Formats: sequence, structure tokens, C-alpha cells
Amino acid sequence: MSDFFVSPATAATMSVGVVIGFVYLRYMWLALRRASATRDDPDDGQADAFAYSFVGAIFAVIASSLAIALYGYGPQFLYVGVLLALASPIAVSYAFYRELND
Amino acid sequence: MSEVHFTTNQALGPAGGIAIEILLGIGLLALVYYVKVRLVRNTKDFIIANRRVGFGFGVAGLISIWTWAMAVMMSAAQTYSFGLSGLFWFTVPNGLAVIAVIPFVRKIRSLMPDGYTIPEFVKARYDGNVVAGGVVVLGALFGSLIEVIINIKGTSLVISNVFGADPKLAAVIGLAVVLAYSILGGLWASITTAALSTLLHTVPTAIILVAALHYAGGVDAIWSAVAQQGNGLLTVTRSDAAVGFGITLALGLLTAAIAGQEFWQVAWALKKKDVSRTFLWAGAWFYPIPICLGLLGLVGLALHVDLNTQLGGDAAAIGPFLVSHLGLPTWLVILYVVVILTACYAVIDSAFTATSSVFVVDIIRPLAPNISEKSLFVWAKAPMFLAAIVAAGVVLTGVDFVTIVLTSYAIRTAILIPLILSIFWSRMTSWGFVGGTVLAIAIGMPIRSAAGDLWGSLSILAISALVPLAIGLANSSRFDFDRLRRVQDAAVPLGAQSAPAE
Repeated sequence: MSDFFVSPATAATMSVGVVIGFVYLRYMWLALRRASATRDDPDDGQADAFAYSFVGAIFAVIASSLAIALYGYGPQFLYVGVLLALASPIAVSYAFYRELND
Repeated sequence: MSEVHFTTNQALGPAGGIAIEILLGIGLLALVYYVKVRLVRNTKDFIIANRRVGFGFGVAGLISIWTWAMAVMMSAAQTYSFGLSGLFWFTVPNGLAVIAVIPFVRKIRSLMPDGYTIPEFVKARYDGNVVAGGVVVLGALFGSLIEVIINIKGTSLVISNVFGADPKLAAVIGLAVVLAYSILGGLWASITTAALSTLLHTVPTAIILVAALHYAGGVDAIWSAVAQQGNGLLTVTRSDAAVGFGITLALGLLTAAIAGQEFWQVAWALKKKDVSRTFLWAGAWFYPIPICLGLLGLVGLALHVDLNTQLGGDAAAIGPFLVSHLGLPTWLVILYVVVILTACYAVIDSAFTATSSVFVVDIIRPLAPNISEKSLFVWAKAPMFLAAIVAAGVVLTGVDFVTIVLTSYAIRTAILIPLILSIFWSRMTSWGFVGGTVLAIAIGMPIRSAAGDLWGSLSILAISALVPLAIGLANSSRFDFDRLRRVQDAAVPLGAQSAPAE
């Protein structure tokens, strides 16, 4: 393994990261173009009917607390943070996707 | 762990650091130029993105706007100082602060759909009360200014520490870069560059951490080295972390989020239906950034990095120190610098836009109600220049900005509960708002300087709650919240106003 790629795990993370980055940028670009195309459209008037804020808040707090606590349970759990850091842009890509299809 | 040696990367020179700042700025400027051409045509586009920000840009933008240089560096610093308890108390309140804003922004969007700023809401709620509005304008402007100063200092620190560049030059170039794209695109520039930054805060962070774990000897060696030190470093239950900084930080974060114009402007810029879910997703998917970067603190503990001799007494330097001294390839060090720079830039451009909104809506509009759209659009950029000049002055002269920090802190903490009561309680009065805020600052700040952050913050919050509650309970009249719906759109010229929302 050359110095550039550091280690097999780093090379694997880079590979996954490149794919995630491509998907993220693609959806971001499409969302930007849609925002531009619909700039002068009136608001569709739909009210904010999202009903899962409280449950979602509790879930997010518990999940993040668990992720941090997991670090203390064994060496392999130290990779949890890395996996979450890769999951975050996937979730945001999905948010862009939803924006495109709403 | 003894085989790990710290080395300085010789490939990193001062010119490289400045070049990275400029190249990053050029990249962001290219994106903003597209945004400017396609989306920004008038003042309303500039300061509130024409209320057309959707779910994706909202989530991505908020994550990055909330990811201060502090979140990047302090997550590792608190882990290094308190173990996993430090990471827990730094991280959990951080994401929760974003989510906790939901009831307020949801309510405010339904009460005042054409709003822009906190001072505008306060003035509308209290029939134009000048003192109430003035206090909140000051709080908003000082708060934004402090965000610019802190984050430009973060920029200069990382560029000077990693590349050995002149910190003052780094600060000026950073400010110039952000100012250039901010005056071009306003809130749309802030949101779109922040969306790009969110990608840069996550994927590169994962890559850097995996490489750093490898260079530090691997996860087994790191975990065992920390476990051998005992002291509860691998548990989240150490009470000294909560008492030492956790509770105070949690209160400060809640205040910064709920009373921060940077969040309110996004709340008013989002499409109405997307407000709640956007803030929930942003808070939830912000969490991975500090959780991942906090690992650098564990690496520091495992390698016995010395706070005084290697970090200059500042635990916040643990991340930059490890990344630049573990022997990582140059491109990974540069990637880490980009992560920090984009975190700083995202906060600064958001703060610039906040000053612009407050200036246009709460200062120019009342002073010159008949100002033309063209003039308003030009004037909207003036406060960005002013904020950049003041921030540059503070950094270049090395002047102590503790007074600005304390003023900003005092006003924001003191208006938190009166602001919440203003949104939800119809018996809340202007006297309650002004009295609660002023007395909380007058009594709470001396307590803070005598008894410390925690008791000071609790005193300010208690006084700012009790005074308006007492005055409100003695008040028999109720405020009709429907009046807020009739507030006219402040960025639309008077002749072009449509009928108020019903």
C-alpha cells in the first residue's frame, strides 16, 4: 500500500467516499437547477404538517448518545464514528432527492 | 504506543496555506456566481432567498452553518480533556439545540409568514417598542459580529499553526474571500456554499480519521492505551465533564440557536411545509461530525500528547497537532485544513447575511420607508463590509474583544426566555420584555463575574423569566397574535405590497 492510500481501510473509505461524494454533488446540482427553474413559482401553500419532531428528537439524542458510549465497549467500535460520518451525506443526498420529487 | 513519533510535515509552507484559502474561495465563488445569475435578482432573494429554500438545501445548509470551527476542534478537545464524557457533553446538546428550535420556528412561521428577523418580530409583537426592538437589534448585530470574529480567528489559527503563515494575513484573506461571495449571493450564497461544505465536513473527516487511526498504531492499540489510563475515560458518566463545561455549554448552545438570527433567517427562508423536518434532519445528521472528529481526542490521550509542551496549553489544538504531526500524507493534512476552513467560512457568510437582514429590515426600512428596491439592494451589502472591517480590525490590532463577547452573551441569554414567552404567551407585555431583559443583564452579569459561568447563566435566565411572568400575570389584556399576520413584507417596495396574509 503506497503512502498515498495510507492503508487498505483508508483506501476503502476513500472509494466509498468518492461514490457518496458523486451522488451528493449530483443531487445537489439537480436541486440547485430545480430551485432556479422554479424560482418564480408561488409557494404551494402547504402547511408544515410534520408530526414526528418530538419522536425524532428523542431518537436522535438516544442514537447519538449510544454511538458515543459504544466507543467505550471495544476497539472495533471506534469505527462507528467513521461509518456515521459516511452515512450523514447519504442522508442529506436523500433530502435533496426528496426536494426534487416533492 | 511508544513507536509512534511526531514529525513536522516539511512540505507545508506559508504560501501553501494562503494558496489553499484563495483556491477554496475561488471554488466557492464559482458556485455562487452561478447562484447569483440564476437566483438572486432583488433584495428579497438576497436576504431571505425568496423563501424558496427546499428540504435538501435546508438540511445541508443548516448542518454546515451549525458546524463552527468550534465543533470541528472542540469535539476532539473535550474528548482529550474528559474522555468520552467530554465528547458526550459536547456533542449531544449541540445537535439537540438545532432540534429544540423546531417549536419556535414552526410557530413563528405560522404567526408571521412574511417575517425576516427577530427584532422585526419583537417590534411587531410590542407595537414598535423602540427599547425592546433596540435591545434585540444590538443582540443580533453583536451576536453576528462575534461569530465572524471567532471563526476568522479559527481560520487564522489553523493556517498559521499548520502552514506557519502570518495569522493576520490569513485572517484578512479569509475575510476577503467570504465577503466576495457573500456580497454576490446573500442568503442563497450562504445556503449553497454551506451545502457543499457539509459534504466536505463528512466524507473527508471519515477518510482523515481512518488514516489517523492507522498512523497512531491502530484501533486496538489506541483503545487499550486509553483503557489502561482508567479514570473513566471510556465512559460517558463522568460528572466533572457536566459540571466543568457541559451544563453551561448546553445553555449557551440553546441560547445561540433559539435567539440567533442565523437560524431564524433560515426558518423564514424555507418553504413553509419543510420547516420542522428540515431542522430535525439537520440536528440529527449534524451529530456524526463531532462524533467522528472527537476520536482525535482519544488518539491524543492514547499517545500521551502533552497539553503544555505540545499544544501550547490549548486543548483545542489537539486535532490540528495530531493531523499535522502524525506523519499523514500532505494531501490529508490539506484536506483537514479544508474541513476547518469550510466550517469557518459557512458560519461567517451566514453571520454576514444575518447582519444584512437586520440592517435592511430593522434599520434602513424604518428610517427610509420609501427607499427604492434598487437602493435597498445596494445598501443590503453595506453591513457585510462593515462587519468584515470591524472583524479585521479586531484581529489585526489584537484588541481584546472580551467586551463584545460579554455584550453578545449577556443580551442573547437575557432575551431567550422573554423571546420564548413573546411567541407563546399572549399576556406577555413590552414592559415584561424590556424589564426582564435589562434586569437580567444588570443583575446577572455581576453574578456571572463573581460566581462563574454556570451561576451567572442560571441567574440571567431566572431573572429574565420571573420579571416578565410577574408583569404578565398582573396584566389582564391579551395580545392578538393574528395581528402579526398583517405585518407587511419588509423587503418588498411599499407600492408592490400585496394584501396581508389571512
